[in-house]
Amino acid sequence: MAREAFIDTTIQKKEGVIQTGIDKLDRLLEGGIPEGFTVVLLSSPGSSTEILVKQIATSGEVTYITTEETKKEILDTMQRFNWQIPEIDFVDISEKYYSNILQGEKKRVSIYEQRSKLNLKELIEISSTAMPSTATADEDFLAVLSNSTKKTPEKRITIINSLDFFLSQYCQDEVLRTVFAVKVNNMKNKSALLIVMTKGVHGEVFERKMEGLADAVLELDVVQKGSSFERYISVKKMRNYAKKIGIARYVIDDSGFVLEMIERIM
Amino acid sequence: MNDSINRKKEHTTKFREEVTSENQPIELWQQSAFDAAVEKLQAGYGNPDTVMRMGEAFGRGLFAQHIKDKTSTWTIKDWIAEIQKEVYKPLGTEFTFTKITPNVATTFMNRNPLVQTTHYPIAASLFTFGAMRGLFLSAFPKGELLINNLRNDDHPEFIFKTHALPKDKLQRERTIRKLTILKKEEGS
Repeated sequence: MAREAFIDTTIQKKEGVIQTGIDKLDRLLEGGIPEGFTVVLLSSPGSSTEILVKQIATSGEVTYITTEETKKEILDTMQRFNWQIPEIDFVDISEKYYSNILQGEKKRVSIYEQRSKLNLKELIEISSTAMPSTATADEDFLAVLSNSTKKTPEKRITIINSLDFFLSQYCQDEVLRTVFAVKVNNMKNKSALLIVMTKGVHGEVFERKMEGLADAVLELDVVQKGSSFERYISVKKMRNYAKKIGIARYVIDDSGFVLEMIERIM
Repeated sequence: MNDSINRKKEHTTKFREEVTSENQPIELWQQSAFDAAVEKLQAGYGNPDTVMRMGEAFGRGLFAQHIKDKTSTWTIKDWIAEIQKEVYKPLGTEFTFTKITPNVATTFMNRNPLVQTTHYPIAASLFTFGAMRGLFLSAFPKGELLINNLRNDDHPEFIFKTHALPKDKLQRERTIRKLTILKKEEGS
């Protein structure tokens, strides 16, 4: 297994790849993510994948589809790390989801309040329904996902953080179909699509289907060594770029995601 | 020649078996999904909704991978029989159904090893609720899972409805809110 220490911290911009903005990660990827590639980021608990994707989001032309945190929460974290924040195109599904829930509850409360002011006759007249109707989170978030990736301009990074949300709302086959459509859009746009998914939640069969669908698979893992933990990022799959298969240790410090050493499998 | 074809066939079959294996131990799968949910809860902006969502995703995954006959027109009775056999028995979770009608089933959960063995019992309850909800909605997309008597933590009563009323759809958020204290107790 070849070992490679980092000597230069910068990497030459290559044609046909989209850089992640993290020099050493681009080195691990031999220049960056090939245009049109769909990358699945398999995240283990404690691997801080959310920090990695936020740091990548500061790299420039990025569409960030967030389901886990609101836009504000993401920007707060970016500021905490003192990263320069470019113009990021946010698709804030998290905000939509929670505001739908709140609206449903608000509507319910306001109908109760209205009814409490009515007299008995009026109440009987409207009592055909035992309970006030409510609106809950009934927006089609898979459609939002599909539409927002259709509109993205060429050669940029699209981040979906994370697929877990869609897999909690829809059946796995529906999610797979949408991911495939998003992947096709990404290929047309010659962009890089990063999909975050938590490992060990959705079942081995689904994970393998996602790995099969992806052009590249990066896995972030935490290994306990004695009383300390070590984090690793491995390039498990890179379609047509076998040389890129490798593994690197990383830490999270005040500046963010820092890769330490690359080991190449080939 | 035949030997080579057989070997290839054997290899392909084995590979296919590995790829489509449904034998991943459910208990381990549940544990890893729950660990991920707790980790997300403890992460910066984690909130209890995330725990339930991970439970729901796990439940939908279980349904996709362990329930073979998904084309049948489910009755609630069929669903219960299948889920008991394929999911809850291997997990060691025990229920007592007190009522089963074509559209509604009521049950008490007598034993839930996940809640009993974890350091995060409230998160485990939320996760379990989510997993049951995911399993149920996979079969009955118009349904809802309700929970009664949250104070009786050991034996909460669950009500499965195949056709939910609008007010039932708020139950999920109510359950989360009732257990919001978990964020303070078990969060970062």
